[in-house]
Amino acid sequence: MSDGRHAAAPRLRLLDVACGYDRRVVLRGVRLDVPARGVLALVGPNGSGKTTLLRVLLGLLPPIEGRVELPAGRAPRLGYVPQTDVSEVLIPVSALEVVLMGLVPVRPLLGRLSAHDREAGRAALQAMGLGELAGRPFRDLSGGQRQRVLLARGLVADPELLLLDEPVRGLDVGSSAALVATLVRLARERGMSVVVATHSLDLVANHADHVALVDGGTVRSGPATEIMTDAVLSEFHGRPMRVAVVDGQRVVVAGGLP
Amino acid sequence: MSWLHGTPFELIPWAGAAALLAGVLLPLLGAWIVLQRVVFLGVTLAQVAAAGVALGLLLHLPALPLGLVLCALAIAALTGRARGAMSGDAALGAGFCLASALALLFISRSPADLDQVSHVLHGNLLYALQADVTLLGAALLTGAGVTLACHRPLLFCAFDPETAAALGLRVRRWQLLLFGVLAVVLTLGMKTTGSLLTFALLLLPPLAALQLRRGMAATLALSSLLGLLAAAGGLLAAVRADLHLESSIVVAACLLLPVARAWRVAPLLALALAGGLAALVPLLAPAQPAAPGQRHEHPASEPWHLDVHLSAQPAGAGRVRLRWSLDVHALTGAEPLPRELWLVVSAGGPPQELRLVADTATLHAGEHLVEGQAEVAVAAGARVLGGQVWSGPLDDLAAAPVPHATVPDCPLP
Repeated sequence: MSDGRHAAAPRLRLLDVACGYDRRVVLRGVRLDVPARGVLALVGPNGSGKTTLLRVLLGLLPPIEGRVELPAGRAPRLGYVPQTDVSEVLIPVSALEVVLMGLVPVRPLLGRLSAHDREAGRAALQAMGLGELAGRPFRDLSGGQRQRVLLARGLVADPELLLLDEPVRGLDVGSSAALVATLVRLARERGMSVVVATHSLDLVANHADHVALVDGGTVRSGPATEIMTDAVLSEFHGRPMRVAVVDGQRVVVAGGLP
Repeated sequence: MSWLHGTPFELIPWAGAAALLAGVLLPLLGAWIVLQRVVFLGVTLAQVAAAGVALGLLLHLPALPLGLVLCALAIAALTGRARGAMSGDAALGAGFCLASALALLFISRSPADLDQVSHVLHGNLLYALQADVTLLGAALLTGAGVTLACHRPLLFCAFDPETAAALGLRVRRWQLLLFGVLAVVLTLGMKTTGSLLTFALLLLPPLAALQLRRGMAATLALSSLLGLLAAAGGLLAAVRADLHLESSIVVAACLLLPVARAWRVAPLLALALAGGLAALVPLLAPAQPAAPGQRHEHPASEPWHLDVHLSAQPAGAGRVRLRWSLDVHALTGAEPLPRELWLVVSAGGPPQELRLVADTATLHAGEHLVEGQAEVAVAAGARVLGGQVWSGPLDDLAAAPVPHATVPDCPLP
């Protein structure tokens, strides 16, 4: 996506952070920069601490030790796209109403949204290819459509830093590719910084600029060109791994399986 | 007024007003409880408010502030870290058990009688006075107004609390605002509507509205409309078939669920189901003929009219000596009175009953006929004592307010 060099100050910087829940430390000694532009992927097995790290970056989980710095001198405008199953589908809201929730924190809390805000919501849905479904109940949408509605909500307030938790989980190959392509295009057009927690090594190999490998209670990070190599991935996963190129796309292949 | 002729408002005007107010406004608040999936918090807080009122009776302290304090403590304990490792539902279940038991314990130790127990725990809608309805209406309007004004952050916090928090909303504060409004409404309304009716109107109309699968604004409007229909239907059924008022409204609210379900299949089926249910109401009426003067059609010019005049003197802490006199006007005999006349009075607490006349056959019109006195309890801070004339004691299911009887409010010393 880019050459991995970022002249601008990082959006966030984690310095020797230890984080976890109650008194249980999940990750320790984390040093990580969230670059001002491009895609940073958080990769690791289930339970490794990806979501915990994401919650620290979101400000939902204060570090137990260390600190989170704001090198630019101010907190970036945040957008967040959670996993689809955290939304309450019992609530009878339309796709457009879900998108407009993204404006609630940046508008006066009482009163109505303006016509301009509603137009921004429709434009965000249009950018996701869902302009025709603005009035459709959220609960009646497919998994892929819901994910794109949540992405539109994450983008509607024009964030500087967009964080996504497993954005392609449960999606078929076509939907995943379409979602990722849209996300990468918008990140490039808007000059956003994107942090994505994912299991999909193929997504990371093709689209990430920086990678943070999360496992064993700590984080190893660097440019994607240095991390997404056969040697580093094999060491990280404890089995032979290979990054191959098929029809111009990178594919990560796990070896040593029975 | 002539347009009220034959309606529940002619017989029980303030009860009717309270029921309709609760029917319209409680579901607007309840919709948020349902959407936040904290339904059990509603019933638990209702029991906590009842325990607060009961504790007030026991300690001779103002019941409403005490109820609010207990509700605030309960919210802090049940929704915060104090609940420890218990799940939300488990903590609410434990809180419900404790509050219910405490309400009974407090009342069993208080000087109040069993009727008061029933009224604290189940409400006394039938005996609602103008002051009760004013308080209930103010609480409900405030609660509904707050939730409508704050609907955007409340909706975001209900739909996706994690993202709302990540984007800077104080999710717990918004939840506490909602729970606080609920606590205030429940505590202030408890004396009039009781825990069962309050909880039913919080829960059932929004559940029925959600079955109709409309948008958020339409769901709120439908919740309110369905609550109004349940309250009006329950009122009519209670008056027509001489049923327990609160229970009738609760049953009517429950019936909203199958009717709403049927509406989704076919609106005509829902209308037929609702009509069939309404047609069943007269079958529930008692077999014996109604007592004279209770449910007959009154001519435009009534053959008799009753006036009860009250005066009160201090009689120790929390009590007054009440004197009454009863005047009967234009007694022609064309429309027989009920055999007995009872005076039901309330001064900020549960109603108390006094027998005015054992046999109305002994009355003669135009005379200063009956006088009497008795000590009654008054709530701390009560400024006025109100009353109604009834055809029997409150525990007599056939008893009802006597029409064309006036009891002006009596100032308290």
